[in-house]
Amino acid sequence: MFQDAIRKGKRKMQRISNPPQGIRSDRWSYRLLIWPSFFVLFALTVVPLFINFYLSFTNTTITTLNKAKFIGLDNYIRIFTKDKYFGQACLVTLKLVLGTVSVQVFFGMLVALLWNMDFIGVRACRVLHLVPMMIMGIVSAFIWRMLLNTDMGIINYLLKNLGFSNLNWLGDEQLAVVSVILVNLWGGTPFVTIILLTALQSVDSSYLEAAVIDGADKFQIFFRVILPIIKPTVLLAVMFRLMDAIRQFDLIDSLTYGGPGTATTQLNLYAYSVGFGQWRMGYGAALATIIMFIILICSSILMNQISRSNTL
Amino acid sequence: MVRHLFQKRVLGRVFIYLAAAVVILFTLFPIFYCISTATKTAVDAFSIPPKWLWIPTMDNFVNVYHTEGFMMSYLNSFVVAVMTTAFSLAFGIPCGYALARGKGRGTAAMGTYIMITRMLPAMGFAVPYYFIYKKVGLNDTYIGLVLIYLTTQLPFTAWLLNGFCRTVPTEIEEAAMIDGCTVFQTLIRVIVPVIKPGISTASVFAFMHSWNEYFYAKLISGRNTRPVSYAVHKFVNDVGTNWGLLCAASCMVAVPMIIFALISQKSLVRGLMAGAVKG
Repeated sequence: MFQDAIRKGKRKMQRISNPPQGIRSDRWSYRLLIWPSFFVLFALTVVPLFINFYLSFTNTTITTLNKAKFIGLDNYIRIFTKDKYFGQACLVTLKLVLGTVSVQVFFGMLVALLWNMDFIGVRACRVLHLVPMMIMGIVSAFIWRMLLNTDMGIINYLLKNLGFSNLNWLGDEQLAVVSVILVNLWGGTPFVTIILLTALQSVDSSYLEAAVIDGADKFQIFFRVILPIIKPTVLLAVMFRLMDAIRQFDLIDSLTYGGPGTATTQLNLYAYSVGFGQWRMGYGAALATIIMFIILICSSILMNQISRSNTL
Repeated sequence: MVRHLFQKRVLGRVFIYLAAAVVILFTLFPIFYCISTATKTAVDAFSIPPKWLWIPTMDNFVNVYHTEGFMMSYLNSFVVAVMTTAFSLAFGIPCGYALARGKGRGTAAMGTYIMITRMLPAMGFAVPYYFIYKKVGLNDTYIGLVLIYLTTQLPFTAWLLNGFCRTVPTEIEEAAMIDGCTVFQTLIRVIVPVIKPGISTASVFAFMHSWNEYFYAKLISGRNTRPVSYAVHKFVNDVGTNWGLLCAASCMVAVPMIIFALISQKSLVRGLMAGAVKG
């Protein structure tokens, strides 16, 4: 209270005697410093986004780069009415995103609770657990393709020893989806874990003590005390994983090539294959625009939730 | 009673260690398997039952080293990653600083915009960049790759450093200005040293992301600029994958990054926290 008042007083004094208030006082050199970087940012991101938007209204292909025609909403109309692959890709995206995010957050929470305990070697465990996060998607895809190989993969070997028959992990339509989720579980959980771990560590222990005194058991403490406190962080983790799952490309591209058939071709892969496989770039741009809208809607819903749970 | 409690605790301990072992095994086994395949001979690699003891051989690594163009792509990746890091810092520091200090609607809008840019899919930039590059002739050039990498790295860096700049008290800047520093000097001599941890975090991320980037690399790079993230594909073909070579190449691509990340582990975690929690 008092400190605030003192600070305010100081500010007032400064304003009266008019000394420089940080860098901003020298307006023009400040602007000269800031504007180039903002300009670069705009040139690199805003301009291409507008071009993308424009291209989505044209029938640009690789052979008609310079003489593409403006065709209005045709691309969008075709996507929503005639394109059966689009609906399929949406369904695959939904499956993959729901599977990936739920599995990652669930196991991320469990592992975070585990790393939050006190035992010998826990520090080493926390660091080692981070390793998959640093491996590029394509490399982890290749490693897992080797592990999941039908005939000589080690996972099928282990399953056989347990009495199961060989599973065609990447060749079966249902199992391919499971495989993608499994590899995502391996590569994406550490991120969730580390975020949730910090949230857990920042929970004030007096809450826990109070709950123990009130006679709460472990589950009650977790669901009634800890979870409500760290809810904003959990939602943030969900949001980040959701965005990453929607726009995922490299892992699926190298793990299953979107196959078998179109079983794991989600929207992003589909847009890529249209834009740069069939070279119908206008149509691809329209698909990309739709993906961006989906992401914007999802993220704004989640952001809303986060800010609401922050104020609660 | 006491004994009962003790027993329960021992059981709990055992369970905790068991769980930790399972998690670590699941985490590290694929990596171990990759390294082991890379150091095995072709016969040993897929023998059933798997060989847990083997005499390591470096043949695969030597072969990868002699594969035409692979070491070149190593260099390409390095050049592109360093350039991307440098540019994202050069423009990201002023951006982040302005976001932290600016007031009013413009800054708020800019902050939201940067937040949104961070979430956009690479596909949204792919078509227009390909289109522009085709016209300007920037396909298969270093600068072309760096520019398109900056679309993700620059907003990320600006946003990360924004968080760090917020923690710097304005009084320090005021003092510097009173002592006669120009705006530029204040930024270089006062702000930058204070947010050094943030800068190291940002550079770790920029370097790692550009090293691991695949989507744009596949699209924009050509024969002259293939980064390693795409060059690994060389060892996969329709006839039959040479797993030994592929694993050796994967190790050569991934292991430097793992070591780099483990060394800079602290700034990595700090960055993730700043990135996620301050959101």
